[in-house]
Amino acid sequence: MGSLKQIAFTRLRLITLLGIMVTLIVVLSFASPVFLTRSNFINIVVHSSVLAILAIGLTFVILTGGLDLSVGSVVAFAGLLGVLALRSTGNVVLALFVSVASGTAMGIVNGLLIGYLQINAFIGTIATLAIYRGATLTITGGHTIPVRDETYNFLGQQGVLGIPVIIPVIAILYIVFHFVLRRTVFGRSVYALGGNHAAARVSGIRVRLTTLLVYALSGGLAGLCSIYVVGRLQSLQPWAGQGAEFETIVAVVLGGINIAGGEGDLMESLIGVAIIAIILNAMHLLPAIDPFFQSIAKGGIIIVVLAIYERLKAYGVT
Amino acid sequence: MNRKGILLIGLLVALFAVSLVYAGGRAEDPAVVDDDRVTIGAAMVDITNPFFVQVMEGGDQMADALNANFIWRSSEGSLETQLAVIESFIEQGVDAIWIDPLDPEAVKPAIRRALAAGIPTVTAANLVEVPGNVSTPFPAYDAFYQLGNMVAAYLNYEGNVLYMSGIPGNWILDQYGAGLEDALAQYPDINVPSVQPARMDPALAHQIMESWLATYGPGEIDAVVFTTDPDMYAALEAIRDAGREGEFPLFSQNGDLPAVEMIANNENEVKIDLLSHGARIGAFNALVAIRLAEGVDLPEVLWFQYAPVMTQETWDHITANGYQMDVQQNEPFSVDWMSPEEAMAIIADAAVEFVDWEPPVE
Repeated sequence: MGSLKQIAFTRLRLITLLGIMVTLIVVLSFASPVFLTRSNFINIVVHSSVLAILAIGLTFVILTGGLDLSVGSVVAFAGLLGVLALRSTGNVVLALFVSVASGTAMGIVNGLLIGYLQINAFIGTIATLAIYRGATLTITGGHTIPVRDETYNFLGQQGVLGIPVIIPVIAILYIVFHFVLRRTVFGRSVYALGGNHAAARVSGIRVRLTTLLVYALSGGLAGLCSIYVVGRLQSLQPWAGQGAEFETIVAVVLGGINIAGGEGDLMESLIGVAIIAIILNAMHLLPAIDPFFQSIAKGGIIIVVLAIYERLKAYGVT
Repeated sequence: MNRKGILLIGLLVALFAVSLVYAGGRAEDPAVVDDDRVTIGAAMVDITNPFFVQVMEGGDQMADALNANFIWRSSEGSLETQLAVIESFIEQGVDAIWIDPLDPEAVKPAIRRALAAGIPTVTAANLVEVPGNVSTPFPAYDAFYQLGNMVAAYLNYEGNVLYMSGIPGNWILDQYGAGLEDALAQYPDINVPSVQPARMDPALAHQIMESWLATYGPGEIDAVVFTTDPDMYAALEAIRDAGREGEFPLFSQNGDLPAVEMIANNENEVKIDLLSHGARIGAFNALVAIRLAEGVDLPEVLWFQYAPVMTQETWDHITANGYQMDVQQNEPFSVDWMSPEEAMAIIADAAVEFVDWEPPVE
């Protein structure tokens, strides 16, 4: 298959994704008079912020053929360490640094387990999920820690010109990491690793280091996320981020990232996140949807989208 | 089939799926069906939990009684989701928002946003101090303080009381434990040899009861107090399996129908069950939310009322032993006591108890 044709196929998948998203938007704008308002659009983005940031890290991890189920627990534990730093020093800059650095360190632990000790990613990150969550619960005793700090409050609650701070942050992250994935040696290594580990090793790619780096990135972004979560909730919630890993994986796969690795694009992950966010917003907005029916609707729509992918794949669209 | 065909089919399927959702949304959209009725948005903690199913049933009963619409939404146990649900209610412009807060502190900014948008709010179970918000907290400490005094009186102020507590860290459940322990601590001949958290997990409650029965022989347990009825049902299985049913009295909280029926029929030595009941809580909060939506001015704190359910015989027994209501923190507590028959009537239709309720004057 020629490269031009491949590009056309890639665009076809992207067009399909965009088509689904636009269809959802059009239908929902008729279904709810408030769906297409500016403030609801901001709500959609704000409500999916955690998902959007975690999806960046998980896209890198899944592209290498890996999996990181610990990200939700990292959000809670990194947030806690940041809050403890704030409480003991009063230095908010240090607290923010501690959150990101500790998240990265937790990701490095995952990377060492998977890249160097060759532990299966699913099992390894389930274990660290339990450890990080358990550590958070042990330290907090299961209690919420209120956080009254201007900087956290600004990052989680405030906006500039009516736009919440988190929105430009997400935009910048996606632009930067799209560039990293598409235009750097590291990005190409990520794709190569997911395509074929043995081939990647033979071609000189440092498999273990690349694995370590993608998990460190995933942890670091979860640490970044924790700052926003603490600010938005004005407290450290010991159960923060619980289940976020599964929703993020669904969004990433929905966006077209091959769960086996090697195929996909960060912008497609973003559209996957947007589709999930729109569906969740619709569930909240449409008054007469039976709350028990929501799970069926959510699951049904996800299956429909994935079924479309499978049909596209069957016809050679990767 | 060519790729255009696949794409077209995909879009049509997606359109179909979304249309189903759309159709569901339009068919019974409360704002469309009846503009005269008030619409309440209710952000529950987790609608898969049987307790919140009861809460919604009670809320719906009150909605029917007062001709109001309710939009029930689950926070799925996530505070982030709860904030998203509240913000969506603000966006929809509902007439009032009822929040069962996952965390009383963290929901405050969202409540302030709702109030700033002119939407009144009510927060159930917890005291959420935001000017303009109405809280309907549980007098949890007092409820179990009273229960502790009743247990002590029932035992004539001596004996070994075992306590199966809730989830450590949960504010309300911790208040239950504190109230009970403070009440029992007043009586030097009452001992509490073991307190075990069942974490509202019936399987764990069963295991704990088995361990207790293995540890304490006949005559060494004088009473067992449970945090919730489902824990008591599970423990009863262990008691039956050990052949020790009827050996010691049981006390609990919830006011579930099976527990109330056990009291009425004098089964399994269940003596007192504090009636909170999800449907009752639902009906009361629904009433408050509807009144707020109608523009009624309410006090910012309205304590929810627990009622101890017991037979006349039990009431006579504890009062003969000198029981008197002794409220420690959150006055008013409740009625003195309620018969199982009265409790069953309330459980059958939770709206009946509160529908003619007049708010206290501040």
